[in-house]
Amino acid sequence: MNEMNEFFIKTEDLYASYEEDDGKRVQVLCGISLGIKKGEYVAVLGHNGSGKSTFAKLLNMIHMPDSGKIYIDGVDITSDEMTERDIYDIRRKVGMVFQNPDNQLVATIVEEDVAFGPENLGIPSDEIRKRVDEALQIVGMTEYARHEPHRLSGGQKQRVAIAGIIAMMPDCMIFDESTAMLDPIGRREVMETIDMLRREKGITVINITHHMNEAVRADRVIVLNDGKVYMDGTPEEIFGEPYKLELAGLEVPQCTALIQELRRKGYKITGECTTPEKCAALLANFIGGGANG
Amino acid sequence: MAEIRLENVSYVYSEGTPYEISALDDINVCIKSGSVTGIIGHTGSGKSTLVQMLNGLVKPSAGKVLLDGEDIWEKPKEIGKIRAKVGLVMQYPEYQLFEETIRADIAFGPKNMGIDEKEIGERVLEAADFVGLAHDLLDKSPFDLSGGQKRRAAIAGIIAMRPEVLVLDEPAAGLDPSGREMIMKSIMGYKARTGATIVIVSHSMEDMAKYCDELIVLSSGKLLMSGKKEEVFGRSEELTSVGLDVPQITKMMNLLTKMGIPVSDSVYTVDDALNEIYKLL
Amino acid sequence: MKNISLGQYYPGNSAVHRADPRMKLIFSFLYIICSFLCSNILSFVLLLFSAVLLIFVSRIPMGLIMRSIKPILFILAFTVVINIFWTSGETVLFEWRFIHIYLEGVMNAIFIVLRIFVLIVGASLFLTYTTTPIALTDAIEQLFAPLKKIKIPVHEFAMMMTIALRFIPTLIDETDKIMSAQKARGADFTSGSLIKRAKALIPILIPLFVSSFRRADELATAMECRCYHGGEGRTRMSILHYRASDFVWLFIMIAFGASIIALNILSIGYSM
Repeated sequence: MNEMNEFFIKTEDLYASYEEDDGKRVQVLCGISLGIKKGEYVAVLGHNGSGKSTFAKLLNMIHMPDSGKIYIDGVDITSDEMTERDIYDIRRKVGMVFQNPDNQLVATIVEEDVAFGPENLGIPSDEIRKRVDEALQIVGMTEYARHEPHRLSGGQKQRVAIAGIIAMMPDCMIFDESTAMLDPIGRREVMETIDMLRREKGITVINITHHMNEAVRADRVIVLNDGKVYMDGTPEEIFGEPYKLELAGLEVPQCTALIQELRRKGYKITGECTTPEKCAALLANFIGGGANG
Repeated sequence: MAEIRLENVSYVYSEGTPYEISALDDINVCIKSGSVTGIIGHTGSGKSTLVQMLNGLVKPSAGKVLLDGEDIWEKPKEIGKIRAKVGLVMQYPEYQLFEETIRADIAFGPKNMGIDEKEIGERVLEAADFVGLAHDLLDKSPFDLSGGQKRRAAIAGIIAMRPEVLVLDEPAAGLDPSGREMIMKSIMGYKARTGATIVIVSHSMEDMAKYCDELIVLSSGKLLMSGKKEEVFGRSEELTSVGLDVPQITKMMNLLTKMGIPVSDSVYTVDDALNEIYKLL
Repeated sequence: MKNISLGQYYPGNSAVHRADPRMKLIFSFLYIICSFLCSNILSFVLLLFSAVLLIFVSRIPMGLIMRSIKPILFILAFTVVINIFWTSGETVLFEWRFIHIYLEGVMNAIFIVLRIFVLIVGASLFLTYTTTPIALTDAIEQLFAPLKKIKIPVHEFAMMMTIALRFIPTLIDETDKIMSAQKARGADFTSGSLIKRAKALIPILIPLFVSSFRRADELATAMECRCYHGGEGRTRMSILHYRASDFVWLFIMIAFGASIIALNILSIGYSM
């Protein structure tokens, strides 16, 4: 029981598959066993078809696994005893933001959309009002409360979608390639919002992404490949193995690649090199130190 | 072997209504024959409008678009010919697939050009080879393919028209790293084999640095700068001042310069950076 | 295409704009009934006067109202012609060969035109021009909520309307993009025979359908993730509340209906 309290999400030997139109079964996940702690910020990497989206959809009961167990906040969600009410409770606790900003907004007015989740939960009107105002403030969209979503930019739409989840007061938020369709400004808006949610709300974050520069911001990076956990560690550890990443169809950030190449050539550079700032400091120190020595 | 020149080109949306917005303002720029030209700018900087002007989908409110010195709007009835010469791959082109088979979909463009059946067949195979689509996929429905395959099929649909200028609006958006690389390599392969001029719009400065030799930078409908990639990335402060990025490695090298370490300020690939660092070690 | 606005909502803050959308829904219904009850000149004058007053109070430009009448101008003209030439009566105004025009016919034509005019003014002023489509959807959902008891899916209907309103601009945008993409591949939508042109729409319609289904699928998943499970047990953030002014409106409406009926009974002047 202690172990269950330690992990907010825990999966044991998960197998999942789906059926294609021609009836062929495709195995997507082959034995995933993971534990994610409360408040942890996890990036999940993997090429298209590596099973990362399926994994996310298992966590809030949109899909069901073929076998294996999933515990959310200590509750076994794969159990037959889950009632409809229990399912809504899991979906409230584990909120999800998707890739296409257009296809997840329901209402024609921003604040009405943010209210959609709490309304479904049957929360009293004045409480919804409070939550909506707070959620919009957190994502910085208060001044757009009465706007129509289709006139917003991609980044703004995603922030509205995030507010819609926040208003349900989740413990965990999953971002399923939520920045893939955004331009750099929109991407920055969303990433900063995620950082803030972590800081101020202590929400557990799972960010599924292709962008290595986003993965660098997480506490922990999990790489999925062929339906299995291929790598699992801190960003520094993961990007320290560029060749292994390339085998999984991924690449490392340019700065990390540079330092790794220098290390491979035998230069002993130690320290973190995932961002330009850290990398420059590392190199300046090394070159300076090298010149002195 | 085709050059596109924009002369004093402007574009105004909803002209004469209260919603009037100037999307492009007095643009003068030349896309050199046989170059790989990148277009950089924010959403709303006018780059999508500019791209759609190159093949006559959008007609400038003022100014001229010259293809090999000839005004493409000289004979508006023949704009179809321009569209075959200047192939445009729009954003998320996989959403335009509609035929029953990939083969028929790739053939749609050439068929509209009035090419005979036999040649269409050859062109379809050739285009599929360029983008690396296995021939046994050609008789499948577009909707049975993976995302990356669909994207490549859609690009093949433009390549089958054998354009002299191939324009791509964010060809790699939303793909994973290996998907991105595959798309970029097919485009470069087409260029190498046919000598076509390539125009790419992308938000990825790393890709721009890797593949382009010329860059055009747009900001709020105006031409901010244009020229060789070295010149443009050399002005990284101007780029960052309008909120655009430079490649991560360029950012890092600029930081080193600021710290007083003598490295070149025009580095935008990992290999160049390594060479610079080796000089110091 | 970015600036399309749905419905014909004309932003404003007039007394009509501020009235409760449910009341407005009821009013437009009553107003239409009243316009049919009118059967003599006096009641017609009152009806016309009320319409003009309504335009004045709502501060909707006259031009806008005229524009909404435009599409039915043909039907209007048609009914006028039918009434003038085919109504027989006692007072002959004009006679030429087989054409007989009677006073009754002319009067009938005038009344019909006026009635349709008032009908449109009433419905558009109370509803489309002064109420946003969303408010209207809410009004329908809350006003007809009792019908849920007899298994009429009121909530589902309102939800469908909301989603439609939300996605129409998105789909218009998408159509625009697909058209451009096919044009870039040499598709021609403007020339050729009717059949050829209809065929040319296939490359637009298929991608549009496919993407609509994809969107619907994704939206359904997103809604599930946000605990949507139909109308049962669902609360609303904004609940409509009747205010004192709404009852003033109601009183005016009842008084208006009563006057029309009274004027009909008095039957002074021309009676239809």
